[in-house]
Amino acid sequence: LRSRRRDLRSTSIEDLPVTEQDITAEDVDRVARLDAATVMVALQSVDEIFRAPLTLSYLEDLSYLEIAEALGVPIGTVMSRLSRGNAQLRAALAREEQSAAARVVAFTTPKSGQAS
Amino acid sequence: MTNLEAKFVLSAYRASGSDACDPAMQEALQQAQRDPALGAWLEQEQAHAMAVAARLAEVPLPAELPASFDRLRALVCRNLKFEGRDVSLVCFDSGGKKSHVFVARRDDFPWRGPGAIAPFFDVGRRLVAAGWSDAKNHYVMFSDASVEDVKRLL
Repeated sequence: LRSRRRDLRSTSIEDLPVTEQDITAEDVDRVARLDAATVMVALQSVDEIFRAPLTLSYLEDLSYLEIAEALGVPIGTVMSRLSRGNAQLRAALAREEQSAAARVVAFTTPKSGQAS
Repeated sequence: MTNLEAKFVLSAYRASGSDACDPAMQEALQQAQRDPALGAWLEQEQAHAMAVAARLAEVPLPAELPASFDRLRALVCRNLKFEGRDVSLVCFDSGGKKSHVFVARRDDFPWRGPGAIAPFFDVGRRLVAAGWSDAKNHYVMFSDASVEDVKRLL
């Protein structure tokens, strides 16, 4: 346990993520609005290095310790990749929603009196 | 532990709450209880993680796999390109054994011929390979389960 904590502390500072925007209520609502296939597409667009720990966490429900063991990386690196991966996933979800909205063609009814 | 460090640790806190007893998590969780801003941040993180996990759990299998696959836990579904055509990859877990099934539409690979309806098996040193086709798709599977377990699936 002590060595795990040392591992965490010795790697966490150097791996501290750059400042990323906090999750907003809009981010949470967006996931609820999107369907499962779109969320999967967004996950697939995350860089492989970040997608691996995300997939193991979300789909296999592995702990950060198990992910570190599975990927052969320090636990601080797992935390960093999960943090950055989630940030990429949020950005991808926003892009997917915007892209879906752009595919909807606006329809306006002709103004009354206008020749059709 | 600063709030930045606590956020860093809590970014690995699973949506299922399974990490609540982890000592490193406990320290960060206690800090989140003391600091309302950090607590609110964690609440949003968890809401987002739970929403994503729930959505991903709904992803249907992309192809008509044998009914015996239904009892396995689908881990990952991905769409790949092979020779410029779409191929789906579905990964399963069964008792710790992983199986990876590549699915391609027969229309996309007609030159593979109409045969091979019956499965073939090839036992390597570490993986068992199996291939089969149905009216719509070709399937190629690699598994670290025993050949007997793979045969039971097909």
